[in-house]
Amino acid sequence: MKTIIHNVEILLVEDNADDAGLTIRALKKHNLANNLVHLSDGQQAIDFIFGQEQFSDREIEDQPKIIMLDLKMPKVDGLQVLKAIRSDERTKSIPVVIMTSSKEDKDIAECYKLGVNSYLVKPVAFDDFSKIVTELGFYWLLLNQPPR
Amino acid sequence: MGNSEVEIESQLKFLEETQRAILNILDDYSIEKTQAADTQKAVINILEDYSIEKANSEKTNIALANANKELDSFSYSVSHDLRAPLRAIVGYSNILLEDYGDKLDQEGMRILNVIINNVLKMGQLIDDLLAFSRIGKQSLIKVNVDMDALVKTIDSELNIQQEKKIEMNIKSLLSNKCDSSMMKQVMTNLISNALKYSGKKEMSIVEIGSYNDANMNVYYVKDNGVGFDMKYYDKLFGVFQRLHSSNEFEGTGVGLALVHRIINKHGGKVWAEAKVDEGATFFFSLPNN
Repeated sequence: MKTIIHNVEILLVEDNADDAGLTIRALKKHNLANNLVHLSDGQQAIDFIFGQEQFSDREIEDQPKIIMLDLKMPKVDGLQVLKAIRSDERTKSIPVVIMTSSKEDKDIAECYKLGVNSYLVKPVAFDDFSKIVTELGFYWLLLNQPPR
Repeated sequence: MGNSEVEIESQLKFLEETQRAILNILDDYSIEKTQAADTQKAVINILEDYSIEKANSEKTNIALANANKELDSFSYSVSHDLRAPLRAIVGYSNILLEDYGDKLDQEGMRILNVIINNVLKMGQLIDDLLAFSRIGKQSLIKVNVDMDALVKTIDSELNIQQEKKIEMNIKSLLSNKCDSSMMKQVMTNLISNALKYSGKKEMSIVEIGSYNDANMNVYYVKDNGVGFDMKYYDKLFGVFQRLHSSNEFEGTGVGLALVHRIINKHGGKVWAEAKVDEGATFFFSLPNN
């Protein structure tokens, strides 16, 4: 889904293609996936946000309304992506929602310490999962006021 | 014999007695010395044994710490890695139902639902197992818990008083110093059990109360459900032990084991009384301070 790189509303960073498939399907159902980009590793996510490497056509100011970030990814993981986003003045306000299988307290604590906006645990049951993703989409795209 | 001879004799005698006394004292002294040396040897042996034991227990501590670390990463792996493929199975089976359900006959749908339900069961099992193993390594954070408020929260979370005919009889509960999130798990398990096993009755009647017994506060959850046969009492709190089949009542058999583990950790006891088809009452005690 890398056909668009400008005016992206949702940046989905998820290495598991099946989870990504379920997430995108749930969002599509409610017309929330119109400007969604799915990247499958942390390094690509950083390049995308900062407009570098293969995404050097992107402007840093062109920020997604919400970044849905998985934690466990190979090479560069979610925490590192979060750190990178939060440590730069230009990008630190972008809303980030962690979506992960991990309910471990230490992960949750670490993410909040780094300034994540929300932490969601992916449920196994499909109905619950779809519901969470849909509510997420509605909230951050339609209800919430973005920083800019 | 002259005077001087008598004097010399008595002095000699005195000297001999003194000599004998000195020899006795020397003998006693050398016995004491030997005993002291023996005692010293014994003490040194004890000290050596002690330092061997200390080294052994330090080794054991290190081994235990390592085992715990391994268990932690095992649990973590279970928590994360096992759930992802489960989610995919459930998710994509549901997609199959949604998008291709009309191409399946009734049997096909039924089979798909069996798959989905079993995966959901597996997910629940994993969650229960994880919760159970976590209790082992968690330390208690004791605060003053308002048990009334706790039960009210559970009441609204489980959405009791919704559809079914349920009568919740919640008496005023004694507050207690305990770990609040663990206590929530205990009460949630006991209350949902009470509701589950009385679910087949016309009207579920659940009573929750507490009383003081010497230095313990005792809490109970009573239901009017199917109860159980007291001859199987030993199995009640075992992990994965169930007294009913999963056809009769769903469940993984970890709920009561969890309650047992948590209450034990608090220094309390768990017990139950029941009669088949005449309901069950589960009690637990907590030291009141």
